[in-house]
Amino acid sequence: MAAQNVRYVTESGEEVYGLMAQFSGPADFYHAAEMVRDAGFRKWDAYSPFPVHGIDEAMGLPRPRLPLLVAVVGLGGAALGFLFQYFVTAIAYPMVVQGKPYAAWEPFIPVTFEIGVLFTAFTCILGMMAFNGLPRLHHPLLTRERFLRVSDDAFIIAIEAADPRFDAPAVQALLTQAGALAVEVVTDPRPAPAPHAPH
Amino acid sequence: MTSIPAQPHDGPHPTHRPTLRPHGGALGPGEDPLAHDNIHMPPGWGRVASGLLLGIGGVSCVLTALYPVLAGGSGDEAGKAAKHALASYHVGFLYALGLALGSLGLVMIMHLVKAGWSVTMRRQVENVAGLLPVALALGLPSVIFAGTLFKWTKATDSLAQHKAPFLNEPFFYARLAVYALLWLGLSARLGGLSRRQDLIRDPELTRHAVASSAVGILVFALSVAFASFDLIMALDYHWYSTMFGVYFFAGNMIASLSLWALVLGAVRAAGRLRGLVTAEHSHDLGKLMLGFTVFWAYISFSQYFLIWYANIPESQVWFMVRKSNGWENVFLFMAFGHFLAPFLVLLFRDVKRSSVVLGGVAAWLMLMHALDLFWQVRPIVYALENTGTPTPGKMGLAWVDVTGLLGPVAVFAAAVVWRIGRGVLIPSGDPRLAEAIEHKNYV
Repeated sequence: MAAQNVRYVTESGEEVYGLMAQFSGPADFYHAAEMVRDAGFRKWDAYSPFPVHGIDEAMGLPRPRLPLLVAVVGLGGAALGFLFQYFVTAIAYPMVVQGKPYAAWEPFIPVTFEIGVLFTAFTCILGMMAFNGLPRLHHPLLTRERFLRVSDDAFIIAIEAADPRFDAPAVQALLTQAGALAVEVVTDPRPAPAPHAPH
Repeated sequence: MTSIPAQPHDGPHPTHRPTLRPHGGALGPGEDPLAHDNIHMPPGWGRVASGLLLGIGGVSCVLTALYPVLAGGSGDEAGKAAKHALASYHVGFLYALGLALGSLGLVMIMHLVKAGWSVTMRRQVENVAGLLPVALALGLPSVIFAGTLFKWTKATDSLAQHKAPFLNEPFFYARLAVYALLWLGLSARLGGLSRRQDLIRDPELTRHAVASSAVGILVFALSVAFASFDLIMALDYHWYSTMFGVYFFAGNMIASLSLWALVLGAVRAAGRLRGLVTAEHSHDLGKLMLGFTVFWAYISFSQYFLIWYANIPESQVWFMVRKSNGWENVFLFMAFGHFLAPFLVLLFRDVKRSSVVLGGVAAWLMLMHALDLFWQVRPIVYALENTGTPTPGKMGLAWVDVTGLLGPVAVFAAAVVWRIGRGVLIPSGDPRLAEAIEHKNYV
C-alpha cells in the first residue's frame, strides 16, 4: 500500500490524478462499484449517463449530512422570521392595525412559513453545492476524450491517486477484474508543484 | 400490465449480487413471499381483542345512552344532559365515519395515480373502507335524534329562514341517504373488484378500478364536503366556511393513514407480510403522514386566519365559542400536538422506517384527530343558546365525553380487527405485486 504523501507522475512529469475505467453497462458498473467499495477505497467516484438506482449503496456512501443542516437552518430561519415580526410590531414600533393586539401571532404565521421555506431552499441548494465542491470550473477527468461520453453512453469509475490505498498496478488489476472495457491514466494538466517526490 | 421480473440487476457477475441493506421483516433465502402463511393471519388471530373492543364499545354506548338518566336533573338540565350525551356520541360517530371515508379516498387515490409501491398494503385500507356500513349504522342515533343535536331544526330566526331551502328536514335526510348510497356503492365496487381479482387474476380489473376511481373521486370530494357541512358545520347553522369540506377531509386522511400504519404494524408484529411490507413501505407511509399533517395545519390555519382577520360576526361565531371558556387551550394545544410535534418527529427518516415508532406517532395522531373533532362538535352543548349569541358557558366535561367517543370508535375498531383476520392480507391477484415487493426508497 502506498503511503499518503507519495505523488504519482507520468514519465513526462505530469501529475497523475488517478485511474479511470469504463464499463459496458449499469450492471457491470454497479458490481464494479461494489468491488471498489469492498477494496476499501475512499477517494473515488462513479459517473453514469443516468441515475443508477442503488449506486450510493454499491459505493458505500454514508447518509448525506445535508438534511440535518437544512432542518436546522430552515427551522432557525422560521424562528428568526417570527421573532423579527414580533420585535417590530410589538416592541420597536407598536401600531394598532385593524384593532388587533400588537403581539397577535396570527399575522406572523404566513411570513414565518415563507422565511422558513426560503431558508430551507437556499440551504438545500447552497449546501448541496458546498458538499459537492461546486462551483468547479475544471476537473482532470474532463481532459479525457473517453470521459466526455459519460453524458451519452459511458459508465465510468475513477479512483484518485490521492487515495491512501492507491497503488497503480493493483488498481488497474482490480478495475480489469471488475470487467472494465478500458483503463486509462488520468493526468492533471496543471503544472505539478516542485519538487517531485520520487516514485 | 405485465409483471416485472424480480431481479433488477442482471449482470455477468452472479457472485456479486447487490448487497442492499436488509429490509425490515425480510424473508429468509428461498422463502416465497406469497406463501399461504405469510398472507393470512394465524387462525383465531384478534378474536379476543375484537371481542374485548366490541364489549367496551357496547358498554360505552349503553352508558352514553343512560347518561341523561344517570346525570339526574330535570327540565332544562335534563335536556342539556341529553344533548351532551348525543354530542359526545356524535364525535365518536364522526370519527368512525372519517376513518372509513379517508380509507375510501386513499383507495381511489392509489388507483388513480396507479401506485405500484403500495399494492401489498392496499387490502388493509380497502378493508377499512369496506366497513362503511358499520360506520354508517353507528350514525343512526345522530340521525334519529337530529332534532336534539341540530338546533336549526327548531330555529325560526331570519338566518334560519334564509337557509331553510337547504336546511330543512326532508332535504337533510334525503342528502344523508344519497351520501350513504354513493359511499356504499363506491366502497363495494372497489373492494369487490379487488377481491374478484384475488380469484380470477385478471389484470383488466385494475383498469376497471382506475375508471371507477376517476368518477368516484369527484363524487367522493363533493359528497364528503357536503356531508361535513351537514354533519358538523350545520351544528352552528349561523356559521359557514367554504373551506370546511377540505378541513374535514384533511383530518380524515391523517386518521386513516395513521390507522393504516397501526394495522400494518399489528400484521407485521404477528410475523405476516414478510418481504411484502417492509421498512421501505413504512417509510413512504410515514411521508404521507408527514404530508397530511402539514396539509391539515395549512387548511385549519387558513380557515381560522381569514375569519380572525375579517372579524365579521356571523363568521366569527364559530371561533368565539371555540376560543373561550377553556376551549382556547384545546385550540392552542392542537397547534403543537396536532401539527408541530408530529411534524418535527416525522421529519426523521428512522422514525418513518420503523413500524413500531411510526405506530406510536400514528396512535398519537389518532388521539389528536379525536381531540380535533371533539373541539369542533362538543362546544355546542353549553356555549350557545338558540339565539346564536355566545353566552357565558363552560366546557362541562363529564365522563360521558369519554364513553360517547369510545362507544362508536371501539365498535368500529372491533370490526377492523375482525376484518384483518379474515381473508387474504394482500390483493393477491394484482398485476403490480412484483413492483410493490421490489419497492425501495433511493433517497
